[in-house]
Amino acid sequence: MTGAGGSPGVTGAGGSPQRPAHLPLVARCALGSYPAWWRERYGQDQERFLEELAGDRRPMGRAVVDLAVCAARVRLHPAGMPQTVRAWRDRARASIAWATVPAVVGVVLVSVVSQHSFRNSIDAGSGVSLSTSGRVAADAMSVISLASLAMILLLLIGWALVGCLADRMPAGRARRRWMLATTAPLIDGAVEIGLNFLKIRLAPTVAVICRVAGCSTTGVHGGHPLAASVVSIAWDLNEVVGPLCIFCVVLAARRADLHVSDLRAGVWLSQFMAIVLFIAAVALVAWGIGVTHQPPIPRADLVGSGPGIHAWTGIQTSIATEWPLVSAGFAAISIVTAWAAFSARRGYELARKLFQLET
Amino acid sequence: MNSRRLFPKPDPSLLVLSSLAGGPKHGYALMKDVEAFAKVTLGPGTVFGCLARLEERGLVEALEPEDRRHPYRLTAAGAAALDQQLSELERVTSTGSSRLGATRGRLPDGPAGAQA
Repeated sequence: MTGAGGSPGVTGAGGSPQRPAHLPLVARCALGSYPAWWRERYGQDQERFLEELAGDRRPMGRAVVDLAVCAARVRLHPAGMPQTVRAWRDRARASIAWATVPAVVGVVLVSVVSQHSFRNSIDAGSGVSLSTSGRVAADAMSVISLASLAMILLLLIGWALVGCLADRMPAGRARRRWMLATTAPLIDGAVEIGLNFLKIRLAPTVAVICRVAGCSTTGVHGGHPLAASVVSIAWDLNEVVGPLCIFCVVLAARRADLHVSDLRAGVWLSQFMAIVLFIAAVALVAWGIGVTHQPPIPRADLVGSGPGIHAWTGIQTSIATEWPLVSAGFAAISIVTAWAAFSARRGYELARKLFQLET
Repeated sequence: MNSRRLFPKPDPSLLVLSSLAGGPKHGYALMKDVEAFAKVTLGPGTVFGCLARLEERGLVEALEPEDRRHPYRLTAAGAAALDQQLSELERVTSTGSSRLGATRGRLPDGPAGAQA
């Protein structure tokens, strides 16, 4: 063999073992962005490659970018992936996680859109005249709200099902952690409902209309000030805890040694999530088009009725610039989720087929 | 005009196979070899991505690791695939070269903008 070098001009690259060079953190991160099966097979080779690159004092930046781009490519098209149950099961599991995480962002985006002034304008219902475009936007808003509810239910109940339907639970302390992580979103949902109830009872809010600026805000009206403050702070904290719970579940699912059949519920979850996100994305486009074509609603029709009403006049300019961005973001989320759901299905089916062949 | 922009880089798989035709090499040696004969710098992601694809198709194979890295060598199937690919390329280059030699001198001047 010509050694690792091959030709005299090349052997300098690695004839004798060199002292491992210190790799920068960004290079280690780029190496770590590859899937586990790849790292097992090519991780050492790539690390050694980078060490030699650093040893020759060559610039590391291009190599790191190349690694990151190729890692994304490997995740999308796993060429050379070993045909083992474990590899395909891990891929399906990662895909399920990828289908879930964008949905968390999607729920936040949908809730932002749902709180938009247009919704409040429709809710006012006091002789507000809507054109055909406005009615399309109103219907689209209802679809978006339903999609948001479906996404929240899928995130909360779906993940709990993924945990509870697992055929082979981790044992001992890992089992308790797994159960806690998978039921945490459900607990968070229950806490949210309870806090909402307390908030209505202890810290009722009322719309405060600013007639001069045409804006509005909500103010606490009645109730005990201390109780109202405590409930409000707890409610805000719970808003942060919710997404954290979802991430805990995703992490727990990644760490748990699941059986292939345990992923069935996750695959269904990711597919439903992709469908719901697609419907929401289409509704969002319809909402944006409808809203921008709705003629301005006179302020007089809005002020003084309904919670948190903004004057419609003058808001359309901001909507015209915002909704294409929100729609584009949502479309990107939908595509990622759809791809992840497809990948999860494929990974699950291949893993199951390989498992059947093994047994 | 920059010919690199008009004609994109050669396929990395072809470069990797051509390099391995000279004997087994590990990733970094392969990159330096390609850089020497093709003036193309392949990154670690591209090199090992190519090797993975070629290994999956049985065109290259990994040898026993030495110093935390696997040398790779061409298989018989890889040599055949490289031979076929190079023959096709050779047909194109020889045709292009002979036709260029025959018509050189009889070519009209390009537009003024193209000269700049």
